[in-house]
Amino acid sequence: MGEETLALFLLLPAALIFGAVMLYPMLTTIYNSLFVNSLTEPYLGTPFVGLKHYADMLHDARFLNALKNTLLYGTITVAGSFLIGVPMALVAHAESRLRWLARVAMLLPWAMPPVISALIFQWLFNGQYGVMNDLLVRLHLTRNPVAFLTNPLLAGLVLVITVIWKTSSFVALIALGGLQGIPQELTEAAEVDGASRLQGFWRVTLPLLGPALAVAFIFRVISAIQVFDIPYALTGGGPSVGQYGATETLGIYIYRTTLEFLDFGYGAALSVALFAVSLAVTALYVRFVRGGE
Amino acid sequence: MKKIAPKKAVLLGSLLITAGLLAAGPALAQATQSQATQSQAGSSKVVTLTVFMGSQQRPEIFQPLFDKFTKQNPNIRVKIEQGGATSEAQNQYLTTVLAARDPSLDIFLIDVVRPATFAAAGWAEPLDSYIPSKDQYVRAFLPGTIASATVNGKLYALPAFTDAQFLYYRRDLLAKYNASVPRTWDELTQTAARITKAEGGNLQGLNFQGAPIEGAVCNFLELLWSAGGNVNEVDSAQGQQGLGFLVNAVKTKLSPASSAEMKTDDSRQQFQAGNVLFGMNWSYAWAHFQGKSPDPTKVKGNVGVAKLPVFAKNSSSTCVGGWQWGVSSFGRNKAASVKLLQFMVSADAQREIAVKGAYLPVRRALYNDAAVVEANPHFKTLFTAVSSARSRPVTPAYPRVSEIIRSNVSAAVSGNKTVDAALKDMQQGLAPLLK
Repeated sequence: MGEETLALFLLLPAALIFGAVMLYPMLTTIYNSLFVNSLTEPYLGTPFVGLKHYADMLHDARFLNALKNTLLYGTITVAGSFLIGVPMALVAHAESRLRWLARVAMLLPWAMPPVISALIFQWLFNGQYGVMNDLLVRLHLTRNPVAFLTNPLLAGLVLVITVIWKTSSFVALIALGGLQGIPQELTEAAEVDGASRLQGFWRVTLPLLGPALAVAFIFRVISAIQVFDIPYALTGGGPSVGQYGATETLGIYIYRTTLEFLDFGYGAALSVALFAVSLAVTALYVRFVRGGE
Repeated sequence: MKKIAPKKAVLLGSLLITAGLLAAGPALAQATQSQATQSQAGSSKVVTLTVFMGSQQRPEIFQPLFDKFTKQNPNIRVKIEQGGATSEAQNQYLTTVLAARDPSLDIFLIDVVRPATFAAAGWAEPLDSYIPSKDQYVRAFLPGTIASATVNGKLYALPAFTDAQFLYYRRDLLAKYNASVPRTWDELTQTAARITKAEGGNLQGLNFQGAPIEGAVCNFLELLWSAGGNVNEVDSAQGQQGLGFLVNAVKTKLSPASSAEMKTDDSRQQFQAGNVLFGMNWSYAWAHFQGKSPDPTKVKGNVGVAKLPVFAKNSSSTCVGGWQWGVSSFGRNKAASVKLLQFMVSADAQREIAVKGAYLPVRRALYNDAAVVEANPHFKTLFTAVSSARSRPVTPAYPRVSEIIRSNVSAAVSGNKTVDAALKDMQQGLAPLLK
């Protein structure tokens, strides 16, 4: 058996699994998105409607609201997770006796299931019993408890805090891995050449960290676009502003449309749209990185 | 062998991840259309019925009845399949199984708001043809429980047990201040103002559910109905009066500032802790208040329960709650399934779950039954409420209806929307669904 045949042979199980649990459902979803299939409106039948669902989406205020929320919260939380995650990694990498503590603290939010994290923050920010309100009132910063989760703006803020808390450790973990792969001689050489620590970081460490951060970035962007679990458990997409939820993301809208409203056709189209958004962002980014080569 | 460039690997990897989300839900609808072959349970053949219910509905109360049924019908065995802690989780599981036309379930226990959706989706078997002289048969039941299960004149479920929202009150405090149980919302407001002022502290005058959950849908409908309104015209004087009352209750501190976050069990816990004078809640709260609860109770023996107040001279209405038995359209033993369900709604079975599980029976006559009343003396007072209980809109689009009502009610209670704006948004959303 040639090496190439062997390679193909070894790839076969992965390819089969990929085909069965990824490719097949993906193609089925795209196919479904071209048909009407609303279980609560059986009188509509299941006629082929082509791209009608996609055209409907452009006039679907709820979809546009969810898309706006997804992009808004996505941008803030991805930026936030890097602003906090990278310094966290530097602390965990630095020679210090407390390094292990920083590493444990870094792992904890990452290891916590998203729904549990959301419930913890829901309690922290509870309007009546929450620790945050207790602190605010005790410190005389507010007279009455603040209704964090029923105010559209504040609920968005709590969502952002929760997601950044949860995802910063992911960025930190990947960044830490990257930091450990950078040979110490390089930073030492910079020091010998008279670079300050800050210059060393900007000119040597950060560029070498680039590939690791790029990977973290892509994963974060995709998970931010697809975010469902934390907002669903934390705010359920609410509170409502106008007709729609202030924190309803595309993921939540897809879930509601498909599993609650039982509109499988439109739900499939929404899923494909979400896929397209993730793909577009990723492709843009990959092109951008390649352009820098 | 050709090496894959790292950048390409990154792109490929991200493709795989994005593809993952697509693998979710929608694919289910396309699942194999394995039409279950209908085989009637022959007299000699032993069949096993699979019954799906949540742990919340206490299978241990139902198991002995299933055993009794098998004793009477040796060729029909019953197996319970448990899943999902909440109504939503159970519904999600059933949606997955039934959208795939899986024949493995015969009977399911569903929330009272679901039969219309299950009927439209073709998941619940209409029971009319299995029950001879059905109209006569259902006359013995509480009307609200049958209305909730009836879609376009056909019966799609049988009520397992019923429930309703009631007004819980502190008997001791009313006695202390020589006050009577309020019959109108105005009386309630006055009594509560007087007593909370005199008592001081954190005592809440009225506790209701303003979080965006089913409790909020019911609280709103109850206020709307007791103002003489109906759900087809929420943007009306009656809607203003109903929702306005709840919003005003928070503004005037009759109800707590956090009402827009209040969920059903929060209401129960606060009443149980002795912090509430009047509370709107379902029947399950009663047992907790009397000490059958994981939380300590400060109100044991001091709780009264009555039907909800009204505006002026309108008649009192409450929401029908409870759960219903449906027969799966894809099950292979439908006749045997209906037979089991008829046993479960029989007077004997209903008496047993009332006595052992404090479930409100679905048959009228049992509210005067000696054994039932002995085990649950408060059932007698509840009868006037459950017998006039009304169903939430019976429509396949109920999940959308519920979402529109609960999110707008909650937004108004939190003060993020005016009563006017909330009612207008509600009307606009509901109009195409309830036409």
